Amino acid sequence: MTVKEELSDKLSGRALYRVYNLKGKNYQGRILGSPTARGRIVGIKLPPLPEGICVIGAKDIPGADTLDIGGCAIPIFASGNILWEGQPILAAAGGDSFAVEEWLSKVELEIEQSADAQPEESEFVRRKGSPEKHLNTAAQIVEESLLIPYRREPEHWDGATCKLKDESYHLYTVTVWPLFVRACAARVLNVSPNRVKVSGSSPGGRHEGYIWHSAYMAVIAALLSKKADEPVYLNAGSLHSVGPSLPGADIKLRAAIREDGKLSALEGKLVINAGALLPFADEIIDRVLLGLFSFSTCLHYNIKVIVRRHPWYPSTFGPAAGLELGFPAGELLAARIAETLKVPVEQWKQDSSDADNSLMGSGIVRPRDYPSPALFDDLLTRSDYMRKSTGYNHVFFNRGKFKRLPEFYHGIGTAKAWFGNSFISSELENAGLSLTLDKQGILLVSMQSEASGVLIDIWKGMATDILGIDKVLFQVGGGRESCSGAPVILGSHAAVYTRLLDMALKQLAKQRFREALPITIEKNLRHGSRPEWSRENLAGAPFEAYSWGMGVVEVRLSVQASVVESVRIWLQIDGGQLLSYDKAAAEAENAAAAALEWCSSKPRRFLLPLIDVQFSNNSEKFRPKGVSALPWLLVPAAYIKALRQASGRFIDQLPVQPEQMRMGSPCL
Amino acid sequence: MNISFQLNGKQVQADIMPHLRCTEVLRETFHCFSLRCRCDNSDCGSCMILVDKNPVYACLMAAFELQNHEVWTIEGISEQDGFHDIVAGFHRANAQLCIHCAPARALATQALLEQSLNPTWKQLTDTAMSVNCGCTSLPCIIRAITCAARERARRQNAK
Repeated sequence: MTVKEELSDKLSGRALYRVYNLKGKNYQGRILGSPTARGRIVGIKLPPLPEGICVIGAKDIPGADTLDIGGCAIPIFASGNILWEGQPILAAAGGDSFAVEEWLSKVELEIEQSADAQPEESEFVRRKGSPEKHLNTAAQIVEESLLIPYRREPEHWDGATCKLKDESYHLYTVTVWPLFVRACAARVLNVSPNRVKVSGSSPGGRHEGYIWHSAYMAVIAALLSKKADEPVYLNAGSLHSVGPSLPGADIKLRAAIREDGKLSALEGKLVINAGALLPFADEIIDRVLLGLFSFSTCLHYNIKVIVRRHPWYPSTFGPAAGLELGFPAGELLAARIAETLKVPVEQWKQDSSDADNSLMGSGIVRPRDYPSPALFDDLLTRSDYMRKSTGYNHVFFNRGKFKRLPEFYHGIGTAKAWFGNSFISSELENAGLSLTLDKQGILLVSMQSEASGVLIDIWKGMATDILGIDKVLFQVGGGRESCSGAPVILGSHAAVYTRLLDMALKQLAKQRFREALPITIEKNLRHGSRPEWSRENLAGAPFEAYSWGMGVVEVRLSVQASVVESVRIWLQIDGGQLLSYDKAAAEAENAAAAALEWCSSKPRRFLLPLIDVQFSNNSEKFRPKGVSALPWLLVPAAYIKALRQASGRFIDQLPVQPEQMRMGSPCL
Repeated sequence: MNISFQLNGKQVQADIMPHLRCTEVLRETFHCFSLRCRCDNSDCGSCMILVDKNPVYACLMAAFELQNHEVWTIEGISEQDGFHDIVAGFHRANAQLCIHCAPARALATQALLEQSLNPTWKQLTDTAMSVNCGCTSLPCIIRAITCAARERARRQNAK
């Protein structure tokens, strides 16, 4: 058996974690955060600075004092007003971490607390048609609500290291966007980007919400290193924990149902609870709404969206970039409507969708690779869904007739979801790449986007397969200073660039023996005749490609303890052409386990689900699509439906709390 | 203060400050860089070492407590014959580990395989949960440990 060398290196510890693996003595950096959430800094009284410790604050920043990302300016240090609890005020570094922490604990902060602690709000409305008229004349009104609390992203132990040599900064941090970190550091340090080098480690299974947090840590480490003139390792978790938060949502929906059972109008109020700042707010809100509308066609709606910014740590986007907030609410509403009408939910969704298949959700053009029902038949067969569901339903509807309570109630739920890959914004930058095959037989690939090492290895493999060339150089970033454009961050841009690369390589393969070297081929994304995405009307084509998936979750609820005792998950994902089956399978399985952990709010020791993931490809074209976000949509939605069947209780909060199962359950 | 202990099969000595943790001494004095110091609070488990064949978190242990004990880090374990079983097992289970937790996972697996080649479910789950990292799902880690145990048993039976 051939064992992969990288795995051996990782397991043996030879693959070093570069953030803190600098030989020699590093200075240890620590951050002093604000103890209060809102207020104004009146004074800072520093104790005598011992030898070997340096300290920096807002006044020590030579360049820009904010990180600019997604329409937000995140201040590096609080100077006047404090925006959130734990906002860095000072950072210190020294040879002995204990001495640094002790010194920081003696710093006296004089803060005038703000009387107005109300969260800031912004409000807007998405409206189409005449929903009031349909609500007034509806045959039935169905209401649903879902609360997903704001939460801190766990497991943020990673810091950043800066090594200063010959007035050049070498930053080590956990990021998949090293160019963005470089641009931020250059702006803050007021130096040329050429003097900043960034080595990024992979976040390893965690999503890309790390984008600004990594830059934040790296920039503070660089400032400390500049001041101390020593390499500095900045540890995030010390006196005050520093880490981004994920926005939550409080969703209330009211649906009007016609006499024929179809959805005629939707009225809703969405409150998005975020931290003090929410980068990419527009993109996240778009996705929340898209997730909400993904269950059925609805041409009359009135959705009021309130973004509430609390004095908490600034937010980042969740694992499905906002879809994970809206999608379960839509699925819950669909389940509630179907139960009211006494029809299976999937059948109701199919019946209520538009007949000509031209629309999806609120008016989004249905993509050409919309999967046929046959694609998912295999999943239903594998999970034995129909037999189990019928049996569990029988138990569900006849509970009152049992002479003796069973030991367990079972439940099984399904969910069908899509995830949009690539661009959402109509202001998108055109993706492009160029290939140059020079006279030495070296292939140079330049592209605008950043790319991870794994992806570049896969692309190199593609070049070798198609052209037989193994000398391939990649120039990523294409001169752009940052990934400030949301499309690059929020979408799986890998799908678009891989497709462009595939097209360019095939064209080069045709031309290479006909034309003299060097040959240059350029490929740009053409949006063709697709209608542009309209944020106001929620219409058009928001994404380049869609990955599809269906999930089945089976749960067992103990009657005595009201504890969900075992869970099985089956997933069928249409991820297009898989670039690496092993990686895709591991990512999907990991995402399913993480999503289950989140939505069941249980420690991992009680959650060892059997996860069965299979992939299919519904597209004839070479089109890789994302797979790791789909389990975050499928698993929670199917889980709450399964719990509904097992417990007889509608779930109105995610993560599901054990108390919800125990208290007020009418059927237990 | 002077301490003396066995590190990866060799007797070593060090002159250390009494407040130092094992992580600091092992990394900085003995260059065992496989020890990751992420949380410094035993939350992550990435700093695992074997002390007298028992897995312990080095970030919670004072360095002077190593006196007269036998310490193994993954640098030493990876030189042994049996390490290939762990690598093969994790590879067979398609575990896509990150570089932060992988050495600790290998070490925890080694500690389990020293105890039993037919581990119970509780042993498997305890071992998998001794390292807390979001890179790989627990079922996958349990599969990997089971595969490693099978590889080790197969190799030992073949002898």
